[in-house]
Amino acid sequence: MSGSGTTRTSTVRGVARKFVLGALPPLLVLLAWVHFGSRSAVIPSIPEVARVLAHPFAEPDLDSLSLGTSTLVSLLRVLIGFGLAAATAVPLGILVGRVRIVREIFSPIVEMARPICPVAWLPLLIVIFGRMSVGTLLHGEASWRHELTSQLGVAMIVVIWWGAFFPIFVNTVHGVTHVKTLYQEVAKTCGASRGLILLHVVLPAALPSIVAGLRIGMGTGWMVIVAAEFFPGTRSGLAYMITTADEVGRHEYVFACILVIGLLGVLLNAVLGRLEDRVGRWQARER
Amino acid sequence: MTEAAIEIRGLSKTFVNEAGEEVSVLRGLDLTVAPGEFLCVLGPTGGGKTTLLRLLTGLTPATSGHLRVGGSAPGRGDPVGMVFQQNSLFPWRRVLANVTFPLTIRGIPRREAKARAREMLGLVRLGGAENAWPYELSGGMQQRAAIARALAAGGEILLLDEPFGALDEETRRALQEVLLRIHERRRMTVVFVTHNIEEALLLGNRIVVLGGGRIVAEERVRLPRPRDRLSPEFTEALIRLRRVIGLAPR
Ligand SMILES: Nc1ncnc2c1ncn2[C@@H]1O[C@H](COP(=O)(O)OP(=O)(O)OP(=O)(O)O)[C@@H](O)[C@H]1O
Ligand SMILES: [Mg+2]
Repeated sequence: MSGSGTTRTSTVRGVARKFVLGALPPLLVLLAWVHFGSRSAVIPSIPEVARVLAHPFAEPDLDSLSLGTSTLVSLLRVLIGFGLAAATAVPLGILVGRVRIVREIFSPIVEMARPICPVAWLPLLIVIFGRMSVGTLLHGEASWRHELTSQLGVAMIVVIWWGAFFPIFVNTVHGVTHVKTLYQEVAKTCGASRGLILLHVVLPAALPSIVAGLRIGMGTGWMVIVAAEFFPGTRSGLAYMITTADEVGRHEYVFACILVIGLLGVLLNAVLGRLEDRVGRWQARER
Repeated sequence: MTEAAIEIRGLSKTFVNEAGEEVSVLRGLDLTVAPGEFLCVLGPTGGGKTTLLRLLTGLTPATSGHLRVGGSAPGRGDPVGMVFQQNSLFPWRRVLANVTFPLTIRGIPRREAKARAREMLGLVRLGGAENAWPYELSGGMQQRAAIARALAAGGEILLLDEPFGALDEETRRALQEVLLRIHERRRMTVVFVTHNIEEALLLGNRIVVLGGGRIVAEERVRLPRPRDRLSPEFTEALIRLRRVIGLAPR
């Protein structure tokens, strides 16, 4: 690409503009925080919150794991649930999109299950899975020794899986059913079998849509985990820490947790967003 | 007697359109194409030229009639090379990968596929563009890449659907040259669809005119090659062909 003078300048200005304008609302929030934080009993001051964030693994004087461990617990729950969702939704989406009889079997049940908020399943799942966790699965009864893995409850992971499954599934189905007929016909004239067409035409053509589904699914998973951790019976995680801290009026922990939730959400979205841009580059430039 | 490269007898195709009406596009068409022949198919827009090629590749099933391509039923034998009317390069593959595609499908090892694809790109004079993305190419370059891919797909039979329709005069001429040179060298059977009479006369050994779902006129072209479109013989042949088409029953 030839970066001519004018385009270069305008991109520099564009970036500067984006940063300056984009920084205005957070700045306002920060100012408001400074203003109200010093005269409110509810809103903690910035240094108080900063202290919590600066020592993430310090034991809090709360009935909760440290901020760092709580973050790790929430993150691992989401990543495992998301991984299971990706590993099931993509293959099933491809099958449903490509094989008529599979579509006819699964479409009704998927459409019925989709609108149910995943958190609604949690009480039932807790009854079903009890205290079963990644820890009990890996280490059996001695799992209490493994602080982290014993917190990765199966019920919680299934809820994340449920939440992340549908965006990935729907996008995969859309991707594989909207491949231009022309491209598939080119492959057919080259003598490609159904399997080879799937591998060399349908999947690459659907990849941008599938990755978009992964990004949205990750976002959903991250939202669902916070809602799920507010449920009674939960003993760890960022949202659990928020509840516990709130009960004893330690709002600096509440604020720190909210900040971490926001930042990690942005980060996860950015990682998958970059991947999405990469695999979708050809699509954006297609004429 | 050598076997025909393409044999069509009593071929009919009727579509049912969205409104539920029957559209009869081909009605009992007969046509035989000899191996190594360069056949041009002329016909009005909507005359069924694309349909004919789609039937030959097996992409669309015939309503009735007998059809053999390279000795097999359409789509059953060796793959045939097809250049589509619209840009059909895979946008997620670079130019070279587009041309290796049919070779990959056939299970030819990567290294060899690449070497052969480079050779095809050389034939259409696109050697410098192998790492480009399709969207980076001009329309004429895209068509050349599509021709290279079709050449890689089918050794013996090449079908082209108005491949130069959207190009300017100069590019069109350059590509006609390229195609003739390739045919000269490889002697494959070519079916070239166009609605440009001059183009048909410049390229074909034989020209057939499609009308009302059948071949309504046929002309063997005996002009020596290389053909000069400014020569009196060419002009004369052009005038005669125009008259034949004008007199042909619709
Ligand atoms: N899938 C289809 N369903 C219904 N009608 C069709 C279908 N495909 C083609 N037709 C009809 O068949 C006729 C011939 O179409 P075809 O594309 O073969 O014409 P053509 O000779 O290639 O025209 P052009 O020179 O414009 O490309 C047209 O009337 C078209 O509407
Ligand atoms: Mg056509």
